[in-house]
Amino acid sequence: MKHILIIDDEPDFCSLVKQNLEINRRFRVDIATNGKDGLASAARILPDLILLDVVMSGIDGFEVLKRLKADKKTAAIPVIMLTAVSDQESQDTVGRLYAALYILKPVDTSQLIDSIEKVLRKSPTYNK
Amino acid sequence: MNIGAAGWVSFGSFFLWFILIFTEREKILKAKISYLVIFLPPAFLVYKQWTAASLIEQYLRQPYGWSYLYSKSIWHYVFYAWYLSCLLLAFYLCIDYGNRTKDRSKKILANLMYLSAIPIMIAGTINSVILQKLNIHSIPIFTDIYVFGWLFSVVYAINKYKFLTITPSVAAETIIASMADAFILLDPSGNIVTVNQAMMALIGYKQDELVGNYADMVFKEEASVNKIIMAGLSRQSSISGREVLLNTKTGGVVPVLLSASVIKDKMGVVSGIVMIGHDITNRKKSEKDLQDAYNKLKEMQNQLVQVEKLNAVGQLASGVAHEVRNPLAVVIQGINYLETKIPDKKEGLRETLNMVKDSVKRANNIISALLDFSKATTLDLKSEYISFILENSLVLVKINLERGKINVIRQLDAGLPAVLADRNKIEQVFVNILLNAIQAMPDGGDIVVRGYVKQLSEVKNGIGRRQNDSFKLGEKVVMVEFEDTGIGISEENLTKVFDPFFTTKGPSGGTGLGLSVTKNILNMHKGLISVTSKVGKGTKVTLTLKIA
Repeated sequence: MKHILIIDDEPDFCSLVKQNLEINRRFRVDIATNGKDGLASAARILPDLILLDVVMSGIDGFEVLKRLKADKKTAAIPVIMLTAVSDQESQDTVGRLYAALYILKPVDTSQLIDSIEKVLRKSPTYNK
Repeated sequence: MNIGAAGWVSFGSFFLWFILIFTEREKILKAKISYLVIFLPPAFLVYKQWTAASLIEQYLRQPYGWSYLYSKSIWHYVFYAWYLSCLLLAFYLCIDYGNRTKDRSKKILANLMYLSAIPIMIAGTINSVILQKLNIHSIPIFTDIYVFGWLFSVVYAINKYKFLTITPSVAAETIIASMADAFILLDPSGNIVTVNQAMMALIGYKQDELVGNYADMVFKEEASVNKIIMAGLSRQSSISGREVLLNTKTGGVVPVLLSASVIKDKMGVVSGIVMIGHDITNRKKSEKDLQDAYNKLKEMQNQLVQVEKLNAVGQLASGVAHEVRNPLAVVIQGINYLETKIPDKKEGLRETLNMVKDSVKRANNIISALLDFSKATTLDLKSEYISFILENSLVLVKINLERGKINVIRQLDAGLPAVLADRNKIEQVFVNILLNAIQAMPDGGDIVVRGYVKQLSEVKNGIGRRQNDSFKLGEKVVMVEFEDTGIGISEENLTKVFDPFFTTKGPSGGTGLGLSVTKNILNMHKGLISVTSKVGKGTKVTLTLKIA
C-alpha cells in the first residue's frame, strides 16, 4: 500500500481527501496542516508521494517544496501541488522546483487518484 | 585763369555725388575708386580749360562761364558727354530709389530730385549748347540761374517732406504702413480702397490685385462682410475681437481677430469702413496643440484608469478565486466521500449529489472566466495573419464542430494584410465567437468566416474624427465576419450581449463573460465588434481590426 502525505492548512479538506483515498485500503494517508509539520513528517515517514498546498501561513508550499528537494532523504519523493492558485507564475515556479504535477482545486477524487497513480508509476520508488 | 571753370565743369560730378548720397548707395561710396571715377574727368577738363582753353576759346571774354565761342577741339564734346552722363545716371538712381523705397516721403523726394533737374538740364542744354552752336548769342546764358531754380526745389522738397514735424495724417500713414496687423480700408459699398503691407504679406495678394474688389474676396465665409456691416456696424458703429478667416492667394485660410469700425463724415454719412485684422494663426495652433495634448493626456489617463481598474479586478479576482476554490474543493471531496457511502438504490440522493457537484463546477467555471477577464490587461501586439489565427482557433473547437455537425466555410480574401494583434487574445476572441455560433445551432448548420479589406466611409461609434475614435474615416481596415445559421438573438437581448454575466444558456450553460471578455480584448486592440442578428435566421459578428 502506497503511503501518501498531504500537507494543506485546510483540515477539513485533508481529512476528506484522506477518507476518500483510504477507501478500499487503496492508499495510506498521513496529514500535516502546516509547512513545518509537513517537512517533519516527510522526513520521518518518507512517504511515496506528497500532496502539497501552496498558500499556507508560516512556511508556504514553495518553501516546503524547495526544502524537500534540498534534503537528500526526501529529494526523490514525487510532489503533486494541489492548490487553488491558478496563475501561470506559480505554476512556472513549482515547475522549476521539480514538482511532478500541478493540480487545481477543486478536484474530483477519481481525477486525483488517476493523477497520483500516473505520477507514482513514473517514480523510481514505485516498485519498492 | 578762369577760376569759375572749376565750378561749372565739375557740376555734373557734384550732382552725381549728391544723388549717390541721397539714394543711399553706400556700397559705391565706400569704394574709394568711385571718387576717382567721378572727379578725375572734371579735374582733367578743368586742367585743360586752364592750360589751353581747350573747351572754350576766349574764355576771358566770357568770365561768367560757358562761352558762346566754342573750341574747334573735341574737348567740349567730351565735357558735354560727361555732364550728360552724370545727370542721366543720377536721374536713373533717383527713379530706381523712388521705386525701391517704402517710405512715401522719400519717394516724393526722389521724384522731386530728378523731375526738378530735368527742365534745368534741358534748358541748360538749349541755352548753353545748342543756341551757342547755332551762333545765336542774343539770349544770354542763364545756366547758373537754372541751377538756382533746381536748388530751390530741392530745398523746398527737403523742407516739406523730410524735416517737417509729423502731422496726424503723416503719422497715420506711417503707422498704417508699418504696423504688424493687417489693415483694410473699404468704401461704403464694401469695396477695398487700400490695404497695408501686413495685409498683403498675410494673404499674398498685391495691393492692385485687391483694390476695387468687393471685400468678400478676402473673407472666407460668404457675405461675411455684409454680415459684419449689417449686423455689427449698423448698430454699434464698431466691432472688435471677431474671429474670421481670410482667404489667401494660394487657396489657404488665415484666422484673424477682426476689429472694424465705420467712418462717418460730419453729416453722419458713412464714408468708409476700417478693418484691422490680427493674425492668430499661432494662437490657434497653440490652442489646437494644447487641446491635442489635453486629449492625449485624457486618453492616457483613461487607459491608465482602465488598466488600473482591470488590475484591481484582477487582484480581487485571484484573491476571490483562491478563497472560493478552497471551500469548493472541500465540497467536492465531501460529495466524493458521500457518493461512496450511498447505496446504489438511493437514486434520489445520488441525483441531489450530482446537482451539487454541477453547481460547484459552474461556480468554478465562473471563477476561471473571471480570471480570464481580468487577465486581459496587457497585450503582446504583433503583425499577425487572420488566416493563421483562424486555423488555430478552429483546431481548438474541432470536437465541438464535429459533434454539432457544423460546417465551416472560409471566405478569406487572398492577400489579406496582416493585422496588429495579440495572437493568443484574438484566438480567444475567435474561439468565443465560434463556440457561441456552435451553441446557437443545436441541429447543425454553417458558419461562414469572411475576411476582407474595407475603407471606412461611414461615421459610427468608434469611427470618425473624435480623439477617442479608434479609426479615422477613410482608414483601411481588415474586417472579419462570423455568420451562422443559428437560432438568432432577439432584439431585446442584442443590446445586452456584451454585458458581463448576461447569458441565455441557463444555469448549466455559460458564464455570461464570453462576449464581455471578447469586447474587452477588442477594445484593447483598438478594434471594434458588432453583432447583428435575426431570430430564426442567424447571427453575424463583425470585427474591425487595425492593419499592421
